[in-house]
Amino acid sequence: MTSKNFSFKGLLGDSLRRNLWGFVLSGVGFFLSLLLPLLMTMQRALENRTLQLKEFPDLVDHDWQSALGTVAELLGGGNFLAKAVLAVMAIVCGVVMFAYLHSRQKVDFYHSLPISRTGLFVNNFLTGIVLSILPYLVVLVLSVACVYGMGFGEAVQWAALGSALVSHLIMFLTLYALTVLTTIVCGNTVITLLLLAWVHLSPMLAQMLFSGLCSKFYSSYAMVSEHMQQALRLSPVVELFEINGFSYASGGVTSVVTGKGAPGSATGLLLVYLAVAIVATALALWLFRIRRSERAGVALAFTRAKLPVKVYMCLFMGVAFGIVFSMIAGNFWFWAGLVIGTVLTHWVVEIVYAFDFRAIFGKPLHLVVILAVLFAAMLCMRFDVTGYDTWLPARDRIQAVSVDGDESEMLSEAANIDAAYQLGEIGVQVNRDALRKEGTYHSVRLTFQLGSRTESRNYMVPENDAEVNALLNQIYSSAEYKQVVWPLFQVDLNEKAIYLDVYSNASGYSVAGSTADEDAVRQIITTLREESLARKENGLPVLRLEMLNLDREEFPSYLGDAYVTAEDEKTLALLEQLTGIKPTALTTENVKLINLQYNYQYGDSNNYYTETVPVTDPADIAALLKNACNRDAMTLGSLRSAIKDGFAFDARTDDMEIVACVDQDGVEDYFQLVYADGAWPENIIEKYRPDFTSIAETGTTGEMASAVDTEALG
Amino acid sequence: MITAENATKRFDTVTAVDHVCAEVHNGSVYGLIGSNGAGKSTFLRMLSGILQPDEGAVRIDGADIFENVALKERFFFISDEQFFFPNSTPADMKNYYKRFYRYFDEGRYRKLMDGFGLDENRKIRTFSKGMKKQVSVICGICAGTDYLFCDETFDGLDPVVRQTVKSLFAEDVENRGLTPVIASHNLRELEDICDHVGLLHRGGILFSRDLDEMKLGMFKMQCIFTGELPENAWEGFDLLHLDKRGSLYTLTARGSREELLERVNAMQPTFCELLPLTLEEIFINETEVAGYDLKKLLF
Repeated sequence: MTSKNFSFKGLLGDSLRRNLWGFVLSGVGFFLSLLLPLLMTMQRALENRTLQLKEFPDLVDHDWQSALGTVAELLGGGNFLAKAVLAVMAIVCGVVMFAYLHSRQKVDFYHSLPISRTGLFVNNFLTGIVLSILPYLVVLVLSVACVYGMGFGEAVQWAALGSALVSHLIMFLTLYALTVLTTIVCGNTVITLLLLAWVHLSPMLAQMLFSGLCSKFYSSYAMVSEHMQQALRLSPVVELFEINGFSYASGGVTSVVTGKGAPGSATGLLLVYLAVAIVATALALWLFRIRRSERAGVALAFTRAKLPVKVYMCLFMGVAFGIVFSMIAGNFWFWAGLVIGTVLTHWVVEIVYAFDFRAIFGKPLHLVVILAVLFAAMLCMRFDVTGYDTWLPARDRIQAVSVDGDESEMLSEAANIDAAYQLGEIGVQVNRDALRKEGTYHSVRLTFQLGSRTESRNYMVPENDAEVNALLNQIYSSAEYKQVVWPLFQVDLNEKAIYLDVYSNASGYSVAGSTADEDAVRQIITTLREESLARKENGLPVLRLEMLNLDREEFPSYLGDAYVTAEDEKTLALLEQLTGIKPTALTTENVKLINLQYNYQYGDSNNYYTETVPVTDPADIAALLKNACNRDAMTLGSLRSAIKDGFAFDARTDDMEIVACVDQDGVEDYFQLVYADGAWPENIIEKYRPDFTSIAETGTTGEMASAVDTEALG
Repeated sequence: MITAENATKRFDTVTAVDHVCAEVHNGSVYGLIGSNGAGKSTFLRMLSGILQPDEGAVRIDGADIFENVALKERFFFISDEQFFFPNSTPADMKNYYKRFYRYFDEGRYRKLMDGFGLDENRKIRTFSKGMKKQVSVICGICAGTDYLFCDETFDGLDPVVRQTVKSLFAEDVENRGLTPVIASHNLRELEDICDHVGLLHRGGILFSRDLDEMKLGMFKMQCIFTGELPENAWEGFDLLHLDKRGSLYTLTARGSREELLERVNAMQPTFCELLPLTLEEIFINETEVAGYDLKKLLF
């Protein structure tokens, strides 16, 4: 670069002229993925509008807004096709601009020229970027011009467009730098492409495999959604499609519950990717400078990288084979899978390194050491050498805790932390006992906030244990829990145009009434918040308020449920006053049949016999409906999930099913009934209980016994 | 001046160039002879800054060549497998080289392209192997560098072009002090152009000599004697080679021209004349003296 007539700009221009294919590929790609869909969308929207103005004027505004939204999405960070083109260009250009390193002929040519390796790197690196990005920018400018030209200027949100552009550039640079780095590390283009797939996907898959191993060996391992998100973040090519501008494309990283459903910020992740791009570029430059020209044509250009790459691949594939084998055929095959996966991978890698099949049995000592390390690591996990399953942080380190929730549901009150900590202690004690006592257990996931990090564990606690239940009830009934977890407290009354669909016990799946009046909704929710915090009795809900708002495309978006009990008198009065909605119970007028489904366990614990007994006597039906709550209409789910919503129905409900057949305008619907503690209709239940004695004696199968008994009853 | 001091290059377990020491003086034509796999190309690739020596050093005027952009401007490397950009024309290649070589002589390039009958706007991929070589040689000569490194450059050139290229080299050596370093496995190709030759064998230089020096004290003579010569007739001659076919004697001997002629004439031959020594003969004689059989080294 010391020659007087040497011009870096000229050299770059030369490179660009020689690689016109790149401009064409990129230009065509972005035209097809960006400009063409935009033109099609806008043209169609204009045609629809013309038609609608004549025939359906009411729909014009809605559809126009929808079209604007689609145009904004195509222009911005929601255009998946454009992202795909961006990823393809990053990979193609990254490989092509440095693939000369894989040919001795080309290496001799370039490396004998009077240009420094740094200069050559910068020239090739920039050429790849310009080839990909310049057409993108040109097509983007043309697209914006077309959007304005066709009257869709409202769709251009400059801030969103700018953030999408910046995030696209960062993601492109990350993918491109990683591709260049891989191309330089390899000495063969086919190996480059294979390693590239490995570079882009294996960190994510490795994280998933590690999670799988933890799930397999640690009973307290908590697979939380954050783990999956963290795994995805290790793969920029996957994350490219998750990010929309400076945010995530969906609420996948946050709760879909109202208030937390807003897309999370991806700015931090983008900054990390930018740092990765810079580091990868610097590393690529350094390796490019020290890369030996004679390494053209070999599998890996850096001899020292061979062993770490092989070890990583062997460990990865060994574990992957182990997990797949154990999923197919059981635990024993996990160990067989470890061996088979590791050995096969070692063979393949040795063959590829030497480009010679005869190298298949090369480096046997490496193989033995890798297997030994892998087995040692697996045995450490198997016997929990690190004490993972008995881990509990020191109480004074816990700043907040989440019980069966995610990181957005942290409780920081000392009483709740103490209760959760005691649950953790019970769980640790259970895990310490090699052989658990007889009985059933259920897991409680505790997520601890320890300074800047969080740690989750699934602790096994005894089912129906008085102490455990008391601790759980203490947490679930606390005001803090309700305020942090219940959707009722998460909706932002100031920002969201919320409307309510109200369901009662009698309305079933049909809406009993609705209100979209902002003032009414605000008053109802505010009152219900106050009353729900003050509830004292253990009553079941009489109304379910489904909270919704309309998304950008005017589709209803579910924000969560809020429940009204008979105790919430002010709310009920307000509902009646503002909307005319009152709770209605199921009555004998529309319930002509109730099926009592009894379960009988016989033999060993895996054998169940189920028998359904119909109740048609109006008096018995009335007795069953008294105090009953429509579990389906109220969407109460299991007893454990209902407890979190503040409702503890009778546990015997889980042992059998009481299903009411409701006739609604000639259509039959079936609803499961549950009862509050103390309201269980024991007399009626026992009255109809079948005699299972003969089944217990003969072990008759369910179908046979059912047929006999039904006949007898009939 | 180019110097190689114990230059060594290994490819994994193979030592391609093994502690080579050599000097190439400016303005000379250096021939690098060796059989296939002797290390000629590797040595030239080290000279060209493509490969970095694993041991020792390769220098021009005392400075290491590898990653030395200023030095790299002073030489042009014509590889045995030339690379041209896909779909490029000679003009494209010329324009590319012009960016790197400040003394690139475009006028001469055009003249030579015309002279060789090459169309500078025709795609190189449509050229024959020899024509591609010609394009490389023309670019190399016109680059205006001090050194020209040629790897098997005469392979594939027809005899006329080969002579023309040699003439061009000679012209530049004389006019502007060009120093070509030419690697070849064929001694005869270098015969009429090199003034200094290095013999590479299995990565090492067996010897490196100035041709004039080698020729200076060595003569080839053909004589015819009518009668049978006595067995001790050649005693006192420093004979390198003697061949007798009937009455015709062909001998190669060391010594001064005058002394040799005087002594042979004293034996009263019916015919006697001095013959030019071929490079191959000189090498055979020299390597034999050094204890090697050149035919085994080169052929």
